Amino acid sequence: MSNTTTSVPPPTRTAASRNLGLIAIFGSIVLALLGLFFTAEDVDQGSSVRIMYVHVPTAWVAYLAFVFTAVCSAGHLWGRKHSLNLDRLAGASAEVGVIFMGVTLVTGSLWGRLSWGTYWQWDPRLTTTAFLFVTYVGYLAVRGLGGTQHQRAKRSAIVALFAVLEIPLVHFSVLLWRSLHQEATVLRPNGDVKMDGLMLFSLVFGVAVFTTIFAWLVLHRNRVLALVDAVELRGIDAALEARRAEEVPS
Amino acid sequence: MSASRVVGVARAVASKDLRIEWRSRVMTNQVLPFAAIVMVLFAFALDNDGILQRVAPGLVWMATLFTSLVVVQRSFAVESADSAIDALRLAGVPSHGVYLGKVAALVAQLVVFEAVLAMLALILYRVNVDLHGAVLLVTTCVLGSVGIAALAAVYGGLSVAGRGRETLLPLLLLPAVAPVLIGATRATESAFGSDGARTVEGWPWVGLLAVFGAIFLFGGTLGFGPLTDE
Amino acid sequence: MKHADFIVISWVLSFAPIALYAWRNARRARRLDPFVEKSDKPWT
Repeated sequence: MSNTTTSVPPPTRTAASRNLGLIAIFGSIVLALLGLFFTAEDVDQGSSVRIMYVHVPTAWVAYLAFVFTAVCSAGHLWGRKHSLNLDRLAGASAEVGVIFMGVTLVTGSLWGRLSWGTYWQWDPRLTTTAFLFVTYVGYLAVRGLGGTQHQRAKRSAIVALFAVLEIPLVHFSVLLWRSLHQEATVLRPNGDVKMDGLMLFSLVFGVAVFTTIFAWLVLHRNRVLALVDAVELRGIDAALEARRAEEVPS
Repeated sequence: MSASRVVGVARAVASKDLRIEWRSRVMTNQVLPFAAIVMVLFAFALDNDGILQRVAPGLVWMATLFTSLVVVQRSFAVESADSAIDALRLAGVPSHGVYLGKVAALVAQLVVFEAVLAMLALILYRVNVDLHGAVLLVTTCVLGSVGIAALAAVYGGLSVAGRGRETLLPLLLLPAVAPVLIGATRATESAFGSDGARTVEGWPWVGLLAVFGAIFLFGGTLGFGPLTDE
Repeated sequence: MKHADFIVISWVLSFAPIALYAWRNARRARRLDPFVEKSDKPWT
């Protein structure tokens, strides 16, 4: 392909999405300045609280993404038109959610290494998050099963609703499981910290920034998926080859 | 469609599945030895009687989960061979009935496997069960199997729709049945008296299994039809 | 590793996958573009 240089704007770009992207980038820079330089260190956690400014927002966005996937899936199933666009939104949102959840797990274990001294703790919140991650990797695999676009949409919508049903059950049973093995409470901060004004502002600002990034990514991903579906309908073999040449996004 | 028709279809599908399994002897000649060798391998891997007694409940349920993957794949391989499930659909059979029949047949097979695995645990890992513990164990096995089968039938039906994507089943099923593993293992611990657990402590976990089974039996009844419908 | 390293790595690992995903997405859109008509892109 000759036209893969970044100088050509991608066909999914519009003025609105471009501005949204610029806001997201600007916000990320401000967040980095706030989180890494301007905020004070926490009394208990010290400087490791600086990880929280990315960890908490990514976790929030991942949960938001999965809820959005469920809402779009329900909308597809019960909507009168069985809109394929809602199905693509659900898929785009789940993909972005899996990425953010992966980031949450990595930053969470780095934070845990600093605060708990271990990368992994069998904490209910952490365990549920790991389950959620695997469950939505499975959902994305279901999306790749093949068949017609309407088959894919219906199938993945049902799996998405099952996944949402599983989350509270897994979380509840992990809570029960952990309550049996209550270990001696050493100093184990659970991530909730007392925050001063600027710290709290940075955290809320981080949530806003990452939500903007989420909206921007889903917007573009949704359009790419629409292009993929359109190409598939046109049955252009060359394009399908190009599509197969790409690996599954991690 | 009437409720009695659904029950009739479920019974027909379940007895068909069980008859196929009984006649083909795949379960007794291949899957049962597989389950047994898993239990023996656990003993090799852990290599200590004290540890084995303590973790016996977990090993029984891990072996059950592995075995359930094989059982479910077989149960739906039967349907996708010669497009049998398409024939059922063309015949206008209510999909709720097919689903409930599949679940019933899976539960029956899983309970047999669990009984064998528990017996093996008694013999190989030297755990003890009293009468109250046995009642708890049987209840746990039945309800745990219902939970596993209710989800497995849905995801198994999906793998039929996906034509030969069996690798997807463990990825979807194993994280989803984590609550069954937790609940059933704790209840079995109480039944075996492992690690000083008392038998009465097992019953709340049985409650968790019942709730799990009920939710997914309901969800599966609703979702199975649209999922396998092409 | 020092405390600061963990923090810097966390921040880099938070933004790098997002940037990579966005970049791959844009590349894929460009590759698909020659095969679609204007009517497939209702947002333009």
